[in-house]
Amino acid sequence: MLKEKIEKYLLSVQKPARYIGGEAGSIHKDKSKVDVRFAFCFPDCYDIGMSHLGMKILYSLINERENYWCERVFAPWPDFEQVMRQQHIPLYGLESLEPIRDFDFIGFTLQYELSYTNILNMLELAEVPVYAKDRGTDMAPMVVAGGPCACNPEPLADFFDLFILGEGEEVNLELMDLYHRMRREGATRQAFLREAAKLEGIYVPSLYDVTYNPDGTIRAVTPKDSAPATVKKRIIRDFDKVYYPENFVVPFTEIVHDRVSVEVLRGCIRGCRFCQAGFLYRPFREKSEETVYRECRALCEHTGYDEVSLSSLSTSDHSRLDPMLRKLLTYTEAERINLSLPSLRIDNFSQDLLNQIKRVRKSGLTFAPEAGTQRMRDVINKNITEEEVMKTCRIAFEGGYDTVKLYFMMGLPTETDEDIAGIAELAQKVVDLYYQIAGKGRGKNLQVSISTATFIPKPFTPFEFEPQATYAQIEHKQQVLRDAIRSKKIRASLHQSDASLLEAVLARGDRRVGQVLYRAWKKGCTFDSWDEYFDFSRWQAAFDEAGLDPAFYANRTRPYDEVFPWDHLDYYVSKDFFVRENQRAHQSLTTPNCRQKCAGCGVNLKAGGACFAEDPYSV
Amino acid sequence: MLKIRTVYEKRDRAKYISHLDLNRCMQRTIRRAGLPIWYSEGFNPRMYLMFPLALSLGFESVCEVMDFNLEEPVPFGELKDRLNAVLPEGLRILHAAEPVKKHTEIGFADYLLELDAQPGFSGGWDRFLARDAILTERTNKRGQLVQTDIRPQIQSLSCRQEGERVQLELRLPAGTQTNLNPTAVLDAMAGLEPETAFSLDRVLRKKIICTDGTDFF
Repeated sequence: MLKEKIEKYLLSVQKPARYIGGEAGSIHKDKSKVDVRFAFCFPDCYDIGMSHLGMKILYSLINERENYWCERVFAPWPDFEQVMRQQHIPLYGLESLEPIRDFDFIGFTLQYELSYTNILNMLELAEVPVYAKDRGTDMAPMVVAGGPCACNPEPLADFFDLFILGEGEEVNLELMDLYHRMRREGATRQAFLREAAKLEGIYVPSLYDVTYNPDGTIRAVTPKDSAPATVKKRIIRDFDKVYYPENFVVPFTEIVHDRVSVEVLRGCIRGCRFCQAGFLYRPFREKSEETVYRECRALCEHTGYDEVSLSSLSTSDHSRLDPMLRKLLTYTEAERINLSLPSLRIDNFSQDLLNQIKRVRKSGLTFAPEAGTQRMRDVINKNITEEEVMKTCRIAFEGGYDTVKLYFMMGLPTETDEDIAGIAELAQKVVDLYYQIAGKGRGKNLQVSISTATFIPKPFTPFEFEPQATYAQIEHKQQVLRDAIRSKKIRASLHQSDASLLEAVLARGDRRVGQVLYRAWKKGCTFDSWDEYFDFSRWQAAFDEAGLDPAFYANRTRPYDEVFPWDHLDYYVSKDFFVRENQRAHQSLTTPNCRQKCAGCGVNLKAGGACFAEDPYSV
Repeated sequence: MLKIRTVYEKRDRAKYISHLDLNRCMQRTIRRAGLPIWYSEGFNPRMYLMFPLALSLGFESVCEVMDFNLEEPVPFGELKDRLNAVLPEGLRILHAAEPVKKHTEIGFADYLLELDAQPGFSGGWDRFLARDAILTERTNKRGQLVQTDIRPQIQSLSCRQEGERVQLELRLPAGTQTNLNPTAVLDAMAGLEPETAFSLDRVLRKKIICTDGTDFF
């Protein structure tokens, strides 16, 4: 039995609890009564993967069906990977401790590009052919993927049988039902894929041919075998009634987000031009306060967690945030549960709201102005003013806070040295404000932290046409920022890495980038999102061998009429809209948020009806 | 406020729960069971769980002790059932009662060790025990190397060998004063009897004994 073999070596590795399962809330079934088995794979270590809300939702959703069994699989940390390879332990599910090569589905979630090499590594550890074309005619195992990065899955096209676009709560079960039916009929893998391609939200890459122009850009993507010319993502129409789990797997070992998480809204009204999530998850939909309350309560009772976090892209945009918080606090305070609210926007952060959070716990405040000058913020459509930043900081300082963390991006379209120096100036104004309010007595406690990240242009955003700043340009910008900081109370952590170049390539890459990925993995690249394992020299060698230039993918301005690798995938927001928004960005023109005025992104036409038909808050 | 002592087993997959993780796991278990647990007072109220003896990662046990306080009474049988209904696999409350003895009274623990060994193991074990002194080295808190003779601390209750399977029962000091881990004994054995090859398969803590030789619970 595999379990005995695993146990024999478990105590020789770090954090053995990552590899043995058995946590409260994990689901065990009698496999003789199970028809379809699904391995839900997160291509990073347990501590990261177990924090992911999407996995929790889909795990419970599949397991609600008596005859389907979903298990969890994570990337083994290199110490345990070595044991697995030496002792011939194939990658296994944490519930049954059985090899996933015998499962029906091996499903990966694509959360960030730098996890891609781990996918290839996990397939090899599972003893499943890494290339989809080598998987023969048997239906099992079907290797599938979903999640945000599935919006441009082309660099992964050769490795997957199919991709699931958009929200998975409905289509995952439809796909499994189709599989169940066709397997009874004795269908082949290829026949199943042709059938699956007819489901809305299913993209089968092998049913599309890609041709290229002499300059390396794409000439055309052509469907075959009656596959649809464009594949639409799936959306949940009645978000308030969508499935939500009543229980989570509660890990033994500490994970990154170790708490109950309830999704309060999906989508975003803001339209920040750099933000992929803000466009991918449209349209904006909310859960009612009753639903949020019910789900919070059920999860707290079943898991025993003493912390709840409200999850969304922008929680303060919920139209009934105030009454919702009040209702939740009556329960959480009585039960000694901490309520935390990430994703609060700076511009509608009221004293009232601050006090409500403080009733539970006081911690440092974190804001993301994203850019240092008003001009730059207008370009990226981050519609906040300096006054609003100051107002928020004033509230925070008056409320007793001494630390503020400010997040910025570097290398944004049209950015000048003046915009970079503006970051330091904004931080300085925050420092000055603190001394005005708190006086010298409290002064020693003040800390304003600046954190910058390199801007990465992503598909399905108005900046999908934009070049990424080069390494040398970012180096220069960081020096400009360092020179502009005058106060010791401002601490800057400036990250510079080739990892952002790689992320930019993988995000907007085409199918040919798959060869680079394969070669880099063969050279030993895994865990690329971990600084201690990232090795760009291996990637550079892989690019050279494949005859591809990372700059072609990352640092090139792409014309509006170029065929993009993801143009045949339809996320309901039109390319025309992205072009219009890009033009407005270059004119430093802002676009009002969706509640103020519909900007005509196209989602409401395709999803059916207005986004805010009965919204009392629309202006 | 009512004091409760529970005795539980930690077996199978649960043996990989570290001591730190176990505390968190038990807090969540108690919340899931909805027990009227007593919280400490003050600015940051906390649930007080007391574990008199830590168990090494990878060891199994049928005699783990966890004490806590309740705000209001819950019948012992019901308390046990409610916790068992929500405990993860491998953890199970065996009984719950009012505590009688103090943690400071704990003196020893009994362990059952299962080993894979060559046929001559028991002879080697006898030679090991027949030594006048068994010196082990460790670094103390000040960073100095100290030698201890652990021979007087080892009570061998039984050693049975059948082919390559060995079952060894040891009573070793445990508690607030002195502790001796069974793996430290085996490490010393491996050092002094190098020709006796063996590998440790399983450790089970079977019993907790007071300094006066009576059972702890």
